[in-house]
Order: sequence, then C-alpha cells, then structure tokens
Amino acid sequence: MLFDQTHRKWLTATVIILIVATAVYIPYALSSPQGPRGGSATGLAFGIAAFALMIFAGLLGARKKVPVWRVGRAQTWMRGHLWLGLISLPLVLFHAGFHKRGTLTFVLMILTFLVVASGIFGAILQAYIPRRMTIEVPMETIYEQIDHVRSQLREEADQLATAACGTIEGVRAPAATEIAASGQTASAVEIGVEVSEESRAQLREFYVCRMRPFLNTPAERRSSPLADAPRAAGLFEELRLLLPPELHETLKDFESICEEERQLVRQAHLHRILHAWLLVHVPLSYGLLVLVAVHAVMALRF
Amino acid sequence: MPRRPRTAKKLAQRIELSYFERPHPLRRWRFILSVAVPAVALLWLAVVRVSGSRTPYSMGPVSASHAFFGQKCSACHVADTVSFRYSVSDQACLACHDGPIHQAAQIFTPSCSSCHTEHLGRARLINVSDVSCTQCHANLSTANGAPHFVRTVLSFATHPEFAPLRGNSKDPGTIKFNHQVHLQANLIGPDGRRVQLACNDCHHPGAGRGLWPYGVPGIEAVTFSGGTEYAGASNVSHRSSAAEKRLELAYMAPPTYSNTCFSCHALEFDSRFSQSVPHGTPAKVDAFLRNEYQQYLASHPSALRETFSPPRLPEKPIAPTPRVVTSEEWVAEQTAAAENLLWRKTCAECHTLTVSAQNSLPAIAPSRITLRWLPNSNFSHDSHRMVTCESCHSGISSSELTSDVNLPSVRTCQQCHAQRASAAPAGCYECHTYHDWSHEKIYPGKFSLPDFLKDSRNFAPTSGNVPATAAVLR
Repeated sequence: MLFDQTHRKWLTATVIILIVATAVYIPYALSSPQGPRGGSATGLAFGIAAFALMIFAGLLGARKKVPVWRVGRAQTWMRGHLWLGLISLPLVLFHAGFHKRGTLTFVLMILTFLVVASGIFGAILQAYIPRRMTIEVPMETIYEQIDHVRSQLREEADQLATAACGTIEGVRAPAATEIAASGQTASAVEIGVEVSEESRAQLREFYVCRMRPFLNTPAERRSSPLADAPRAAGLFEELRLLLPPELHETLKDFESICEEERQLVRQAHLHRILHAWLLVHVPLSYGLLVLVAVHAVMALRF
Repeated sequence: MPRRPRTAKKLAQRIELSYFERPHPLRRWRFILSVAVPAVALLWLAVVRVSGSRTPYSMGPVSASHAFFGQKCSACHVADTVSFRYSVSDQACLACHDGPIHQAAQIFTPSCSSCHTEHLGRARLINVSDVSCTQCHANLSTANGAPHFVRTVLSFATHPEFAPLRGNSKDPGTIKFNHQVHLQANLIGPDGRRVQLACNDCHHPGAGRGLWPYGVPGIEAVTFSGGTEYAGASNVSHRSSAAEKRLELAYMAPPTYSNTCFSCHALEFDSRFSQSVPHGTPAKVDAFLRNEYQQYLASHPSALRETFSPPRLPEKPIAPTPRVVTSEEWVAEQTAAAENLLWRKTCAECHTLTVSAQNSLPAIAPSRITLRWLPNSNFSHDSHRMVTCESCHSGISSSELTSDVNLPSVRTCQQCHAQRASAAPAGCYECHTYHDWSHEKIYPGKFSLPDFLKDSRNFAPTSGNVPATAAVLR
C-alpha cells in the first residue's frame, strides 16, 4: 500500500479525531476528583469508541474473505483499518487515563501496543517491500507458484545439460518431442557441431556439482556461489574461457536459469518479510478483541 | 538471440491451476495462531476462574485497610436490583464506616467512592484529590445563601490568606505580653543572672519535650491535644495512642504562669514574706493573704503596736511607728495594702483587672488565649520541627502588642507547599478534613468474625445497623 494523496482525507480525519479527543480528555482529566478512570462517563465513552474502532479494524478480515460484499472498496476498508485502528490507541490510553491498573487491563494495554506497533511495522513494509520487489525481482511470479516454476527450471536445465553433455547420471534425458515442445533451439550436439569430450566433461561437472544442487537443494540456494550474482557471473566467465564457443549458448541459458532461480529466492525472502508480521498482528488482534469483550462485560458488571 | 524465449505459451505453462487448493504455509500458520491466541486467552481466564481468583478483573489491589477481605468482592460490590451490575454503593461503605456530612448547608454530597478510590494498591484512601474539594469550592454555593467561607479556592496556590490575617483582625487575648521585650538579649532572669529567651522556653508542644526552664521547678509538661475546638484529623473514636501522641506534639500548649513566667516574675507582696501569692483568682489570693498575715501576727504580736505603713520596695524600709489596733483590724489593713499593690501593679503587669466597688475584689478579664488559630484545618508543629520558629513567625521579634496576630501568612506556607516536583505536598487534605468527625456516630458493627473468616466470596452481614449519619447522607 502506497501512502499517497489518497490517504490525505484519512490522515486529516484521524488528526481531527485526535485533537477532539484530546480536547475532551484534558479538562476531563483535570476535573476528575480521583483522576481519569475508565468507569467514568467520559472514560467509558473513550472505551466504547476505541472498542468500536477495533471491531471495525477487525472486520477488514471479513471484508477480504467475502470480496463480493457491496460494502465499499477493499482499498477504502484498508485505509480505514489503518487510520482508525491507529487512532484506537490514544483512545484506549484516554480510556485508561494512562494508568496500568489490573492484570487484565494491563494485558489489554500490552496487546493494544503490540497490535498497533505490528500494524505500523506492517504498513511500512507494505509501502516499501513491493517497490523493492518490482526493482529486484522483474521475473516475479505468483508466490504459491514458486515451487512449480522452480521444478520447471530444473527440468529445463536438465534438458539443456543432457543435450549439451549427453546422458548424465541421475538426470532423465528428455525425449525429442519434449525438446520441441519446450520451444528451445537444438543443442550444439544435435546441430552437428563437434565438441571435445573434455569440454563436455567440464560442463557436465559444473552442472552436476554446482548448478543442479543450486536448483535442487534449499540449503545450496543460500550457500552456493551461484546464489550470489557477481560470483555466479565470474564462474560463468571462467567457463566461457575454458569451453569452446559452441557451448557458450548453453552457458548463457544456464546463466539465465540461475538468474531466475536467484530472483525466485529473493522473491520468497521478500514475500516472507512482507507477510510474516501478520503472524503477530492478526492473532494478537483476535486475542485482543476477545479479551476486550470480556473486559467490557466484567467492567460494566463491577 | 536468446535461446530461452519467454513466450506467452511458455509462461502459461508455468501456472499450476490448482495452486490455490494447496495450503499456503503462512496462511496456515496465521489461521492456527489466530485460533490459538484467543483460545489461550480464554483458557487463562477459565483457569483463573476455576481457581477462584478474580485478580485479572480487579483494577488493582485494594488498600491495606481492606486487604483482609480483598477477595470478598461482594463486601463492597452489591448487586443492583434492576441490572446485572454489582456497583459499589455508599451503603456498602456505611456498613462499616460512618461518613459525617461536611457542612449542614452543603448542596451536594459526593458518593464515597468518588473521593475514596479503591483498587489503587497501598495508596491511602484518605489521600483525596484536590478536585474532590474544588468541584464545590471552585465556586462555592450553599443551601442558605452566601457562603461563610471564601467562594473560590482552586488550589493551594490560590488559597486565600488565613482568616485571622485578613482585614484588621487582632489577637483577642487580654494577657499583656511584649514579644519584642522578652526576646531581647541580656534580660534579667532567675536569681539575677542574664538570660536570652528562646521561643521554646515558653512555647512547647503538649508533651514529650521535658520540663519548662522558667516554670515552677519540677512541674510536668501539660498535655494538650489541640483544644476543644479540635475537629479531627482522623477518626477520633479510633485514634491510636500513636495518633494521640502525634496530636500532642502537633500543637503548642498555651503558655501559663506556672510554666513560663514563674522564675522571673515572682508574685511578691510584702518584704516580710519570702513566698509569693499563688497565681489564682482574686478570692484565692485574698484568702491566702489573710491566712499569711494571721499567722504572722501570731508569731509577731508586737506588730499590733507598730504604726502601719504600706509595703514599699525592700531596699527602702520605713521605720515602724508604735500604735494600738485589734488583730482583725491589723490583718484587714495589711491585706488591703498588699492587695492594693497586687491589683494595681503586680497582677496588672499582665492582667486587665476591673474593680467594680470599694473594698470588693477585682474582676480579671479572661485571658482568651487562642488555642487554635485555624480551627478548620490541621497543622503539626512537630512535622515542621526542622525549621526555626522565626522562619515562619517572621515578625515575632518586633511584635510589641498582645493584639498582634503572629500567625504566619499563607504565603509563607506556599513557599514550601506547592504543586511542583521538588515541593512539599500542597493537597487540600494536607490541612483539611472533609468529614466533620465531631458529628460521628458510634454504632455497633453488623458483621461477625465468621463473616470475615469463612472461605467464601459471598459476603453478607449477620445483622444490619446503619448509622444515623447515613440517613442524613441519603
């Protein structure tokens, strides 16, 4: 989510609500015989308003679950969630009179801070990470498709490797129809170019020892020299010097596949950063809503 | 020419159409945690409930005074008849405490809990916020017209000058006393030695400060706990011995002749007698003189033949002249002469005497020493013992008249007592008490020991007695 001009109205409304709430709170706090308390009429009003805003913020999840509901655009709901959820924190503080009282209210205060803080952190990530992903991962795919794309890359690399180096142990040789279906051009071997066995062995060794583990093994995706773009470029440059020009096109394909794999690794990493905060924000929000409901009932009762 | 063309067909092959059917790890964990966190929260409350504790719902521990039935919520939280609420009513407080009204003319009576807030831990319930007072005293109205007190008091910073210092108020005392003279250096003290008087030679708290240096030898310090005007800094009926002791140290005992004046101001009446007249009423002095002269005549019968001359200063004796009178005439004559000296000079040094008829005893004006200058507030000299007397009673060394009011100004108090971090407390309750404890009703308790000791959260009295004051409050 970008913090652009469309947020101006929400920001203005939030500031106005904050000013009004502060203007109500200060004389109320100064004139309350025993200081501001949640049980007073004004304190209760702050508490009810904060709880209502929390419920509204929590309804964003329901709004996303049922996108066909005609209750406003999802973006509008998200902005409301963001700004009205944010304003709930000062309202909660006004409700509590900036005091930590009982155990439950203390837990609620901690949860509120955590939910709002994680929400702010998430909003910042939402504004920053997508832009970074656009720059760093031009070959971005659907996150859930990453494993599927990865297997296709592996398959493609296997085809290229067997075409260039002949049969490789542990690698299934593709049928001619599969090669044709893949749309790639024929390999150097098939087009009848003579490549020495020594060169084939060198390329085979590189593929089996370096590239295939990089494409296959999760641990290698982080530790392999191919995981680092400059080091990978150096490796391929060395290979170009060692191998005959007939195999350079295959090397270029390998380099392209490695680059795509690196982007997939990067995308998965950024995606986890972009969404991992929700593992804190959403569960704590539900916990907060449940405990606030209990607190409201018990506070009104006693 | 790239050998790996990213054609639409090739890209389309990448999409696995059933991908949404597979669980997404982040979404799965989010769902698990979203169920687990509220479940854990509810489980916590359930466990607490089963264990019989209500601590999570409590807004904090109750005050030390109520701690022993702190878990018996129903002792204070009483069920409303028409709702599900268990609110704290004044009746619950009045079941154990009396709450005398503040003023008969007050137009508003706050609820007990609006001033005495519970569940604030060990904070004392009597530490009441200034706002509790200023909700009325910021613009005071009374049920019977104009308020007797200052209409607007917002805080101690805006506290009006003390009433005895407003206008041309004078000390109503009748004892003629000059502080300026008595605080001079090199005064002639007992036995002719030179002395420098200090404030505490004559002004002591009621107890615990030893003997009076210029009093009758061996006299005990008087006990004084604020005088009859005392309105109570705490519940009088429950005042502990420690509280009594604090009160005795709080206020200065009124100076008396036997405590403070005796050593220097002997009540001599005749050079033939070494003893002084007692410091008492004129009748008592008269009886003493007649008795002394009768005894003297019994041991000096020749005195009847001596020509009478009124007693003079011992340094200038007048030679007696022989004559003849009866013993009754002689005693009356000697007594009259001595009383003439006492009424006109010795007693009149300090007292105002009025002689209404010839040969009758004079009337002595009541001393009217003010025991409590500010009867509607509490003050402790003992709490302020670290400062010199003159630092507050600044004009005392130049005060020459009894009518001078030597009470410190409120400005003096405000130098230390202020609403700032490094200042002494300035709350209303530091000096004032809301409840007029002089109207406290003593009543029998309504709970039995088992009510408190039984292991139950339900708390009900075995009998009901509500003090009369409670009816007034209602």
